[in-house]
Parts: sequence; C-alpha cells; structure tokens
Amino acid sequence: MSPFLILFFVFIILPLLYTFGLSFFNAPPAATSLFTNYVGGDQYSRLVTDSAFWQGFDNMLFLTVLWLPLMIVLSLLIALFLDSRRGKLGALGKVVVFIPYGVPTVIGTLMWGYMYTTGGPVYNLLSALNVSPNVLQPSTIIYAMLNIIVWEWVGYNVIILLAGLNAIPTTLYDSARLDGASSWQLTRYVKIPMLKKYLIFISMLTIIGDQLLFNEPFTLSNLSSVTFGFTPNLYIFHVTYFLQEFNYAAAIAFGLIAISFVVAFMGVRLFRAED
Amino acid sequence: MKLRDAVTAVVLAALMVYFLLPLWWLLVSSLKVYGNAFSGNTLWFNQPTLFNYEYAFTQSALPIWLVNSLIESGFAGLLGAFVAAMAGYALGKFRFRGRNAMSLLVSIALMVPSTAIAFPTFVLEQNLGLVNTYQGVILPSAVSAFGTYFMSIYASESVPKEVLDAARLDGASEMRVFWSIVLRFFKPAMITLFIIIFAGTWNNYLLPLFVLRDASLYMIPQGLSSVLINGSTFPNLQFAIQVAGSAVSVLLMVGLFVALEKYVESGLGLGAVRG
Repeated sequence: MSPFLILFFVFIILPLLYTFGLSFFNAPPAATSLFTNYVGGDQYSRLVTDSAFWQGFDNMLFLTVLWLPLMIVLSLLIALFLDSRRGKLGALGKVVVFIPYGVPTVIGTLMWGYMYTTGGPVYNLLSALNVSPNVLQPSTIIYAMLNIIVWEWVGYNVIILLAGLNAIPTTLYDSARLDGASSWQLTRYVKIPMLKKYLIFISMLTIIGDQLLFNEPFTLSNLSSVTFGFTPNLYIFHVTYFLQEFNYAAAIAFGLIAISFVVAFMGVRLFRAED
Repeated sequence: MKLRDAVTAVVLAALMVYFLLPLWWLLVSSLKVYGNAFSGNTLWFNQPTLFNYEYAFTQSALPIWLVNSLIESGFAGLLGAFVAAMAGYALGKFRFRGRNAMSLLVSIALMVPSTAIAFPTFVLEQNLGLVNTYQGVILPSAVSAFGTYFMSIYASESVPKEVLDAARLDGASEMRVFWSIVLRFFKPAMITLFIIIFAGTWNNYLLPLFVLRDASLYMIPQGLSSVLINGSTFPNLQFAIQVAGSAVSVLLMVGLFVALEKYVESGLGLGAVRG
C-alpha cells in the first residue's frame, strides 16, 4: 500500500496542488523560484480575456458538437451489428474495428496526414469525386481531424458497448420474444435502454478526451494550418515551451482540469442515477 | 437468410476497408521509395524495396527510440501492475482508517486524464531533478488510478477470504500471504493491467515531450514526429524513418493487442461496468 501512496501522492496530488499554487504568482523570467511576485487571481483574469485561449476553446466546443453524436451513433450501430452477428464473422469484425485503438495516436495521425497530402490516396479519391481535395487547409482541417479521431476511438467504444450488450440477461430477451417483439423492437426497447449507462460512460470519456486533444493537432501542425491555439492543451504547451510563462501555463492547466472535473462529476451523477 | 448474409458481407467489408486502410497504405508505402509513394496507385506495390527499413535501422536513431520505448513501457507496466495490485488488495480486502478517503481520492484521480497533469508533472519533475531521465517517464506512468480501482474490484470478487484466513491460521505473515497467495489469484488481472499501462506508456506523447529533451532518450512517437517532413532537404530519408518506424511500432502494438485480446477486453469491459 505505501509504495502506491507515495507514488500517488507525488505524481497525482502534489502536481495538482503545485500547479494550483503556481497559478497565483507571476515570476519574472530571471527569478530563481516560480513562487515569486504574488498576483492573486490576475492570471485567471488574463485567461478570461485571452483571445488565443478562447479560440482553442471554441474549436474544442465545435469539435465536441460534431464529434459526440457521430461517435455515439457510429459506435452504437457497429456494436449492435456485431452483437447480432455472433460467431466467426462477428469476432473478425470486432478485431478489425479494435485494431486502430492499438495504433499509437501520433502514428495514426502521421499516416492519415500522409494520406491527405497531395498525391496521397485520400487526396486522389477526393479529386476523382470533384471535391476540393486538400483537406489540410484551414476551412476543412477540423473535419480531417475528426476523421482521424473517429478512426482511432470508435473501436474502444464498440468494445465497451459490446461488454454492455453481453451483460444483458438472456431472460429479458426470452420474455420479450414471448411477447412477440420483433428484432427492431428488441433493439429499440430492450437493448438500447439497457445500454444507457454505457452510453453515458463513453459520452463522458469523449467529452473529456476532446477537451484534452493534443497529439493529433500537434502532429498535424507540421503538415498543415494548425496553429498553437488550436486546442487548449496545445496552447499550454506553447505557453510553456515558447513563451516560457510557467505561471500562466499553470493557470490555463488548472482551468482545464476544473472543466474536466465538472464534466466528470456530472457524468458520475448521471451514472449513479441509473443504478 | 440470403439477404442477411449479403448485408453482413457488405457491412464487414466496409468496416475492413475503413479501419484497415491506413495500415494497408503504411505497409505498401513502407516498401516504396519516397518518389513512388505519392504517384501512381498509392494503394498497391510499386518496385518493392527494403530501402526505408535498411536506412531507418542503420542510419537513424530509430533502434535507440525502440529500445527506449521498450524499457520505459516495460518498467512502467511492471511497476504499475505491482503497485496497483498492492493498493487494490489493501482497498478491496481490508478495513482500515482512511480507507474511504483513499477510495475517494482514487475515484477523483480516475477523472483526471494523464494529459491534464502532464504540465504539472513536468514542473514538479524539474524540481526533483527527474527531467531528462527514464524515471521521469516511468514513475508517473506507473501510477494508475484505473489500475488500483480495477484491482480492488478484482480483489473483492475473486480472492476467497477462506483461503486467506486458512493461510493466516497456519501462521503465514501478511507479506507471505500477499506474495504467495494473493498474487497467484491476481495473475490474469495483472497481465491485463500490464498491457494497459504498457500500451499507455508506449503511446504517450505529451509527457515525454515535456520531460525528455535529449534525442537519445526519445520514445518512438516523439522520435518519429521530431523528424519533420515539410520543407526539409531530404524528404526521402525522413519519409524512410517515419514509415519504417511507424510500421514496426504498429506491428508490435497491434500484435500485442490481438494476441492478448482477451486480457485487454476484460480490462476495458470492467472499466465501463463500474465506471
């Protein structure tokens, strides 16, 4: 127990407290300690009026609005499909859908990035369809990223939903069939309601994951128009590494952690309400 | 039934094309020289060559990044599995003062995604002198709130109290009970946890990006993305490193996931059920 307590304290609790403390100072560049020049809540007021941060926040909200329903609907459809095809083919489908989850996100992004560039297969396909083929330009980059994220994460969600479908007692199916339920009714009135808890869980993960998006935009920034403020996490990295303003970065980080707490808290409340 | 089979075939084919396309592209492209990768049929072989692999393995730091990834992910996985086993056993099987507070802390930590505390961890590590060391990545990666939670459920459900009591009656010390009895029951769950932490560390990008400065310490994702492709003098050589490195990394990870699918799934499934 105690090795865990030490690691847990040092690498989870302490960093959180430390960052929270840092966010109330504004140390000059040459200062030996980051805890010099106490400024109270100034870093947080700066955050509220920082347009670069809000641009990232806007992108994040926009992505969530697109991403959440798409992810839920796709995962649900695929899970219901695979669940209705048990046996060898279903098992094959499950492995196929799950494989991208095993691909490191940086590498997945690099591959899609290459496929998007001039001469790559996605570019060629779009030109053949007479659609503007360069998806890496500013107006479409968000959709290019959306595709990468869906590709990476749908499999994970499908596995979770399949576990949920497996947990439905067969007696429920039997009694529904005795009542003469069609397979559509079975899906609509038995399977989907029984999955509600699982759907809340993956929605929560999706919202938090979106907010912390970093690997994909950071990797794509070498190839495309992604800028340092594209997502809040990208902005923290920029403020830390290029501006070297640790105290301000701490305030942004803490703001984000607070938001993910709120989302997680609401999720847990909803989740408990289902029990 | 004919129609149903046709639908199954079409949907499965569509899933396979979408989810496996980037991997197929990677395989084909890794066997092409740069000039051939973005012209002609990008999804089929064209004058296959092992140039990319030869170059990446003999002329670049790729072998070093691979070894770094194996060392850091391996140690994080081992340490993480043991630490979580001890903590989970204590939380799942004993009543002690502070147990509830501990459980609460673990569930809070469950909600804080590791990317959210990458920056705080970095700032703390600067003070502890862990920046630019293997431990700087291994130690934070080994603290798994999910793992602790997972093991505590596993402990309360699958380690029979009678066996433990019998051993204690025979005069076995608590340490002995843990090492020779509990660990035996924990084995499958610890394998699951090892894979999850191993893969998480292998794929981690943000933490190494903050913590590791020296190119000789880089892990695979950081190494591959540090090789810029745009506007470079030798795009062909950088392409070689990126595709060969990606192919090897994907092969290792996907191989691990598919071979041990049973273990991976049980971890994800339980995570969802208990949320």
